[in-house]
Amino acid sequence: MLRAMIRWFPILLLAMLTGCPDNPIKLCETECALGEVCDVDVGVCVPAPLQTYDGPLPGRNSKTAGTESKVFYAAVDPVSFELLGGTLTRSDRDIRILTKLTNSRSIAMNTNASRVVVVWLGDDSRFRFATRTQDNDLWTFGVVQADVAYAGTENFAVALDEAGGLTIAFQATDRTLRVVRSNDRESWTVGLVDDGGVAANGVECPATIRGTRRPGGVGIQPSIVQAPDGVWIAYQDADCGDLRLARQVGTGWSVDVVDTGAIDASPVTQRGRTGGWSTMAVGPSGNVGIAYVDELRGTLKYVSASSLSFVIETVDDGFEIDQNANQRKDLVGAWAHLDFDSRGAPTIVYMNQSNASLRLAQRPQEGTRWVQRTVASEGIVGFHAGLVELAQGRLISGEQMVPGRMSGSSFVQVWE
Amino acid sequence: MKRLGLMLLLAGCQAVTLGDSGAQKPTPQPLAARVLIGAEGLTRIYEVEAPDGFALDAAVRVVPATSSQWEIGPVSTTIPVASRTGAFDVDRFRVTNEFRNVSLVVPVRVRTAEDLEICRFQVQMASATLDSAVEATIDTGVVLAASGQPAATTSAATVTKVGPCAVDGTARSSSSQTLASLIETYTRDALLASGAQNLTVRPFEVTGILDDSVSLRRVSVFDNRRGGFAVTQRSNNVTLASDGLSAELGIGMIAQRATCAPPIEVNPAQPSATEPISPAELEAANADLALAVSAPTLQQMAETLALSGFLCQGLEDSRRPEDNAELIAVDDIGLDALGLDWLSVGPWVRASSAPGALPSLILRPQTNDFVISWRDFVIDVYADVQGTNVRILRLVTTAQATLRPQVGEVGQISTTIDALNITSADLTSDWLTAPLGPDIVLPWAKRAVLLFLQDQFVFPLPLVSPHAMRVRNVTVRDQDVAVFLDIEN
Repeated sequence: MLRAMIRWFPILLLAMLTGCPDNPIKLCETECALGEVCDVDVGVCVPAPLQTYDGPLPGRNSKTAGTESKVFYAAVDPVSFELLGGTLTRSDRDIRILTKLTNSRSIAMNTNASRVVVVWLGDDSRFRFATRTQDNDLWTFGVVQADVAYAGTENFAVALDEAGGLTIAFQATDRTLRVVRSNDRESWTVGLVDDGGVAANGVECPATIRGTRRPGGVGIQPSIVQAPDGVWIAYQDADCGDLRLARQVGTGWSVDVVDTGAIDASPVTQRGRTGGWSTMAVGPSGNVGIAYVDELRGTLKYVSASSLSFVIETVDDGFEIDQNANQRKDLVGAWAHLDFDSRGAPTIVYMNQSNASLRLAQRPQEGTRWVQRTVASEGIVGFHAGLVELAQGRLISGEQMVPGRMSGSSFVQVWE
Repeated sequence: MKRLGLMLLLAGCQAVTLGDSGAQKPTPQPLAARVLIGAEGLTRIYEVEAPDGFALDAAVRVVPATSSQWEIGPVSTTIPVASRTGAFDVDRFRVTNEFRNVSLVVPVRVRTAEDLEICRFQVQMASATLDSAVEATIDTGVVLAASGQPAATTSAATVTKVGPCAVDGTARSSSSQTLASLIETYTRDALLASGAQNLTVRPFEVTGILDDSVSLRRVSVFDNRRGGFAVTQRSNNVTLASDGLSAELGIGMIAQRATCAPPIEVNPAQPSATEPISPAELEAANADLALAVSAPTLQQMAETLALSGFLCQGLEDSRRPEDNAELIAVDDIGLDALGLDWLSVGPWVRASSAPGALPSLILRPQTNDFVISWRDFVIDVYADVQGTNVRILRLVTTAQATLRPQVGEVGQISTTIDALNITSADLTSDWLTAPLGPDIVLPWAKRAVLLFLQDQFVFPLPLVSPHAMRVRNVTVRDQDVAVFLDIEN
C-alpha cells in the first residue's frame, strides 16, 4: 500500500498543480469569507452548501423566532458545537449545520417580515452573523467588522429592522452597553448607549456600588426591539440590580431606570435586585412590553412601557400551596421570553426554577389579571425557553436536560 | 433604627419590626420567667445609664447683697464619677458615687438698679462623695429611686474668679457671707439635689425586661414569611432585698401565622413554674443578672417562632459571595455522594427551609443541654446551573438534635449541635440518575442538616435592652433554663 502511494504521489501532485487539461481548476483570488467556499469551476467564492442536520434537535442555546406563519430555529449542539439553523413546522423541519463553533455559546436570533438573522460571538470578541430570507434557504454569513474596534461579551441581542438593517446590542468588556449597527450588513458603526451614569429619570447607581459586582456593569442580559419610534434596549444594571431601558432618540440614546426593585422588607439587602432575564416585544398596536425577573423576590414582572411612564405588574409571584398546606415560595421567571399574540395579549414563557418546569403566563386583556399555567414539567425543563406567537397558535419551546449528562439536551416543542 | 437593631437580637438574628400589639394582648402565664439582678448588676445599671458621669443640675439661687443682688447659677453640667459602688445594707441598697478633682464653672449675675454684670467663678474640689439609699417602687414599671436625703461629703473647695468682674469671692452678702462660701454651698447643694435625679432608674428598661405588650413582625422579601407575634410580659412580686432586685414575670404569646408555616395552632400554654435563682448562682456565674425561663414558655416560644415564619429561611440574601452568609461551598455539600457529580454547578449552593410541623423541646438538666425535635422539616437546595439558580433537590427530615448552649453571645443563646438523630429523610430530585436508598440518603441528610442548621439554632432572649447583654452562663434546670448575663455598653 505504502509502495503504491509512493509510486502515484508525483503524478497526483502534478495533476493538482497543473490541473487536468480538459477541466482546468480556477482558484479564487482572495480567501473566501465565512460560510463560503471557492467554486473552482469559475474561481469565485460562493455560499457553501450546508449539510442537512438530521439528528435530534438540541435545546441548549436554542432560539426560536418567527413571523405569523413561519418559525425559525437555531441552536448550538452542546456536544459537537455545531451551529444549527432552519425552519420548524408542526410536523416537519428543515435544519442545516450553519457552521461549527469552538465551544458551546449563546446565540441571538431575530426576524422581520422578509429575513432572519442569527448572531454569535467569535473567539476574537467580534460578532458573526448568518442570515437568509424568509423564502430562500440560502444562508449568507458575515463578520461584524466595525469602524472602530470593539470587544463583545456573551451578553448580546439582535434586532432586525424592516429594511434589513441590523443592530446588535451588547455589553462590552468595559461593562458599558454598546450597539454595533449596519444598514447593509457590510459597513458597521459602534455606538455607546449607556455607561452606567445617572439615568434620564434621575435614578443613579451610587459610585460606591458601581463596579463592585462580578459580573457587573450595565447591559446584562439585554433584549432589543425595533419599536415604531426607534430601537429600544432593556437590560440589567448588575451593579445596582436595576432594570434599565435605553431608547433611541435621534442619533443618541435616552436611558431610564425602570425598576430598582425597591426594598420594603429585606433583612440584609439595602437595595433590590431586579431586571434579570429581560425580554421585550412590540405588540400589534406598537406598544412595547418588557418582562423581567425580580431576582431578590424570585418573581416574574411585566412593565408596559410608554414614552412617559412605566406600569409595573407582577406576572407570577411564585407562591404555591404544597401538600402540607404550607404556602411554598418558588423561584420563577428565568429564561423569560415575551411575545404578543395576534389579539395583542402579552404572553410570557419562563422557567419555574424550583420545579424545573416550563410555564406560560398571559394577560388576556388590559386590566385583567395574569393567568399562569405549566406547559411542560416532565424531567428538567425550562432552560432556554422560547415563544413564537403565530397567526394560528403558538410554539413554546425550551431545553430538556437529561439527568446524568450535563451536555445531554433535547429540544422541547409544544405547539398550541 | 437602634430599636430595630435590638429586635434583631430578640428574634434570633432575623429582622423584625416592633410595634404596638394593638388589640392583641396575650394573657400572661404567671411564673413564666424570673429575674434576679444582684448588687453588681444594679450598680452596673447606674453606670450604663449615665456613662458620661453625674448630671449636675441646679436652678438660680438669689442672694441679696449690699447695693446689689447676686444670682448664683444656674448650672447644668456633667461631672465624671471616679467610682460608683453599690451594696446591700441589710435590706437597703446603698449607692455611693465618688468624685475626684471636681471642677465646674458657676455663673454669678451681679444685678444693681442700673446694671447687670455676668461673672464666672470656677469651683474646684479635691474630692466629693454622695451616698444614698435606694428603694424600689412600682410606678408604671419598676423604679429605683433615692430613699430619703442623700449624704454629701466634700473636701474644701476653692473658688476662683474667671475673667473680669466687679466683685470677687471676698465680697459679702447682706447676711455677711462671702460670695465664695455662697458659691461653695450652692455647689454642694447642687450635688445633693441632683442625687435624687441621678439615682432614679428603671432597671427593667435598662436590662430590656419587657413590662408591656408588643408585637413583632418578621421582615422578609417573601410575603409568605411575614408572620409575627404579640407578646405580653408583666412583672409581679418585685422585691428589693438583700438578694438583689427580683421579680416574677408572666409571659403570654399569640402567633400570627406566616403562610410558609403549617396551618396549625400553637399548643395551649401550659402552667409554668420557674425555680428561684439564688444569689450564689449569680455570683458563681460572675454575672450582673439572671433570667430563668420556664420550659413551657420555651416550648411556646419555639412554636410561636415556627408559626410566625422565623424558621422559613434562605434565598433572601443577594449580596456578593464575600458578604453573603447564605452561601455554602458546593464542595462542602457533597453532591457526588448522591450521584450528582455530573451536574455542572456554580461554586455555591443555597438552601431554603420551612417547617412542616411545630418543634418540641425537652430540657435535660443532668447534661445541661436540651433536645429539639422536628417533623417534616423541608430543606430545598438551590444551585447555579447554566447561570440559573435552580432547585436541585428537596430534603424532608424528621429528627432530634441535642443542643448545647454556648456562652459569650450577645442578646441570644446560640447552641452547638452535640448529637443529631435523623429518624426519617426523604430526598427528591429530578436531577438524580437513579433512586437512592436510605444507606445513601440518611448519611447525606445528616451531614446536610448539620451543615445547614449548625448556626441556625439561636434562641432569642426575651429582652429588649438598649444595651448589649452578654450571656455569661446558661444552666438547664429541672423546670427552666437560667441565663446569666452581663450588661455591656
